[in-house]
Amino acid sequence: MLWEQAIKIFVFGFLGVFVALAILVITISILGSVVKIFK
Amino acid sequence: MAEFIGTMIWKTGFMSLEVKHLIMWLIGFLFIFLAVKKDYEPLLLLPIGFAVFIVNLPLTALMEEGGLLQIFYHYGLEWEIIPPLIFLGLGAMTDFGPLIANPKTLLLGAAAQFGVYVAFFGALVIGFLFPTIGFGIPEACSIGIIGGADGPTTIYTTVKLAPQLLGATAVAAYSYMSLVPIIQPPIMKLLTTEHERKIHMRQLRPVSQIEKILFPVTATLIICLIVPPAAPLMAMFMIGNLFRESGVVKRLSNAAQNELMNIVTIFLGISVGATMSADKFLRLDALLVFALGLVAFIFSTAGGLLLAKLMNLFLKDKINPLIGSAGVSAVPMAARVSQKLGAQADPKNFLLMHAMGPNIAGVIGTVVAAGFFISMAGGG
Repeated sequence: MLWEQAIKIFVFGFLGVFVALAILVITISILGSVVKIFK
Repeated sequence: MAEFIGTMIWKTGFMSLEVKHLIMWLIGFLFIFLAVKKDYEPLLLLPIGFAVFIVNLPLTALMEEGGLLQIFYHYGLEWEIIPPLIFLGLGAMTDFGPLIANPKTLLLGAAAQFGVYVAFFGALVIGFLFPTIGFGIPEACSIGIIGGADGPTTIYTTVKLAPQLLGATAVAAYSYMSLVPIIQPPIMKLLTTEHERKIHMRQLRPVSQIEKILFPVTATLIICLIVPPAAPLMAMFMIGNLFRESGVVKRLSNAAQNELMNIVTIFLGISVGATMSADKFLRLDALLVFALGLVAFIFSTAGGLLLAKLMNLFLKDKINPLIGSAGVSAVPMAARVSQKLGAQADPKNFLLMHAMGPNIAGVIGTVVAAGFFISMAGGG
């Protein structure tokens, strides 16, 4: 039970950090392109 | 009369002094020495050191119910006010320009959370092998987050998940942050070649004000929707940054950067030091927290570096792997270390601004990791 929860925290937590920041990377890139077009 | 004098003498602190108090005084004086003489995180180690000293004066009851330091601790940390206010000030001090100009460096900030999870498992293994130490999932999360090298986030997570470890985790986080220039370089040299350290990076593009204004709003929206427990820290970080970048509330931005930050830092230092009474600190678990914190720091540094090397296999414009190690928050010291090692390999190599991207990304990454810990370990 303990190790099951620990593995869940590791997998979802570490992947979650990557996913959250990857979404931010994509969003910043899109925003940059949109701002460039409107300039 | 003699009986009265005898009673009065027994009511003084002298008669209740024990060796453990003297040891804690020495620890407090050590922090003061490191702050004054060595300039190690003086803004925090000085108030922490003095608070350690006074909280270990017998019979003063400063941390008893209704005691002065207990009130600071209760309203400042237990009510979760101080860490978000520190983030407000940090946001007002932060320039996200390098991050916006080269957004892929955000991933280095994510990779540098590797040590957080290594220490998390390390704490769980210790807790499993030695159950009397009492390291379960909440404690392991609080210890692991030290690897993010972010003091306020460490404090925020520990107060929510394992408040009994607050003194040890907070002091470990701030101590290792101040030791970044000593801990990181050997790992950075070990994991990179001379050729890699000499890689020059393309100059960053200029970032417009509109992008800088849109960033805090967008980042808050995305991070707080993905990890709601991270909202108090993330939202305050970004509102502070919006004050700065909007350019229309200079007074608020200045207040957040200076007066508010200074006041909150005083109460943060005192409140953290106040948790370090002899009974709570002179224990095996506190020593283990320090050891695991160091492990976390080492693996976080390695995580950022190794991802940068991996990214280089696919990128046309190569990244200098040294900037990966800056993914362990510790702003701006970790970025300075990257700059220093890059310049040692090639004096014409300027990595500071490039390293600021992953450095700030590390702050966001640690907040996200803390948010996941809190939501999955039952603190949120």
